[in-house]
Amino acid sequence: MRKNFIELSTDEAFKSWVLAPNEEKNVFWEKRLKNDPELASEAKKAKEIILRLKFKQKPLDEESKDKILDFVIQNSNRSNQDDFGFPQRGWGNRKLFILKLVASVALILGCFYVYNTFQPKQKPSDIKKVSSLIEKKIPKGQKNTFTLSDGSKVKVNSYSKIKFESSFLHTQERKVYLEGEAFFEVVRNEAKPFKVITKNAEIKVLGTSFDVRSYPDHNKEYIAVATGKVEVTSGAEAVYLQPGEMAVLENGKLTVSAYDLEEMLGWESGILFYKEASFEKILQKLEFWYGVEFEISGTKPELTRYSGNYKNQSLKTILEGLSFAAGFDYKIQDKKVKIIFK
Amino acid sequence: MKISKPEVSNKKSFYLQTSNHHNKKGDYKNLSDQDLWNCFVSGDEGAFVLIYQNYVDTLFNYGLQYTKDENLLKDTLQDFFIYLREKSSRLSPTNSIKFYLLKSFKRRLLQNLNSLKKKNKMEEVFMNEELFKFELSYETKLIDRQFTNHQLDALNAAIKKLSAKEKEVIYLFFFENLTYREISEIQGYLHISSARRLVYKALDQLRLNLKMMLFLLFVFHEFNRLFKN
Repeated sequence: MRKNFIELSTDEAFKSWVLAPNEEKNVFWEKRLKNDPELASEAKKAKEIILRLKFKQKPLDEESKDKILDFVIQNSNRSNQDDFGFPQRGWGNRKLFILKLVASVALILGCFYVYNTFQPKQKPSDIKKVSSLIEKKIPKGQKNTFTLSDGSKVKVNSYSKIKFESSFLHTQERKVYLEGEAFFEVVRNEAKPFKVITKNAEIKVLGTSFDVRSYPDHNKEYIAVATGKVEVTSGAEAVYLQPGEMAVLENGKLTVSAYDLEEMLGWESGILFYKEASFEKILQKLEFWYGVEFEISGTKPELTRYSGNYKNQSLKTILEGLSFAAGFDYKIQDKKVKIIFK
Repeated sequence: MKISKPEVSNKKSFYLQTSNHHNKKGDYKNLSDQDLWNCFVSGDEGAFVLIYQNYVDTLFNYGLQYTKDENLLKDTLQDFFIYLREKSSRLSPTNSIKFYLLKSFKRRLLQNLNSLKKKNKMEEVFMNEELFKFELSYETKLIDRQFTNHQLDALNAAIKKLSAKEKEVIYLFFFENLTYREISEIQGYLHISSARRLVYKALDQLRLNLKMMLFLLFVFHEFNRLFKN
């Protein structure tokens, strides 16, 4: 039976002739159609249907193509062989592993050495009173939670330093020294006040949860209370804070106000938040948060303010949004981010 | 006196030999899909770049049939090609790179779209009538016109009634020029005949609809004529 145009267009060989003709196919079909005028007329229809089919069509713009290719090449470990036939990945991993191993051993030995040398030599009778100051440094791009010996918890934000006694058993107070930002959840102990000491302030509580932000290169310090009551002193000034209140310390002056929950405490649950923030400020925040360094070329906006609220998002997602708002291109290369203003 | 540096030149040729062991520079164009793919699988960077450049538009366009979220597509493309590179030594051989890429890209894209849908971040990810939407163009430059505009209207009206699956199969068959065997694999059909049947059914429906529409048009015109007289 002769094929109608529908049957013809669904014929694999015919379709492939229409879409991707070559000499061989031409010869075959021209011969076939020449001998069969009716089939030829159906073929015309079938061909027209195939050629008229119009789907949504859009090529990817060249810029995106290049961007994706660059990113792909820079961010994939090819499991191929290098020029000398060593499987690159296996060797790379082993190197890294050895490096990590050496680093951890060195760290342990180092701690041990420091502990031993700086430990004042004690007489046996004094031993009970011994307690050592522990210092923890959190680099950019990381956060860490510590449980103190009284059960209180401290979640330390990136680029911060905290010092505390290894044991509060024989101390009058529970003292913690902070540089940077941390969120405290203090176990109540009326006999032993809990104190956070920052550059310019002292925060005294009995049992509460609160956030302290005191970065050394900022001239403002913030203390925001989530639950309980907090006493903040700086020099001769002192304020008492209730839940939902925050004290801002600037030039020795303490002011109390309400605070934005996400802005002050969001970091603790993985929310990166900025409101009406300058470009500069956002970059600094991102530097701390993701542990990256920015390199800016072109002129950056001076006056524009941006807002954003991201929960557990990748740096890429955030830059995608920000680059759209501020009009720049970016390239993430490991821990370096290039920002190019158009 | 001639100073020769055998060491250096030896090393250089060693590099050339090992890094391009399948072909000399610029010779990719004459390679079959199978050979180009093998080059890529064995670690040839030039082959990878060529594959990327040849097919990134195809994949992007395929993705566009599913969603209009171009940033999502770019992200998916990025992840997809990283995955390909990282897994390259374990990829199976193929004699149609386009088919291979479309198949594995689809899997990845649907994963992403489904997880987005779950998060309810985008309700409009799957807008059914938008999926693989197509029409017959009214382009007049085509030689040998067989269909009138009325007939095309009728066909386009019929196209709107096709299911998303039927449209996708038509896309893969006519737009990407894949074979029924390849389409069956992409769509996860057990039999090749399933893909063929689907294309045929879709087009046959067009034909039936066309007949009916033309009949209605004829009746309509006749009525008009009668009433005007």
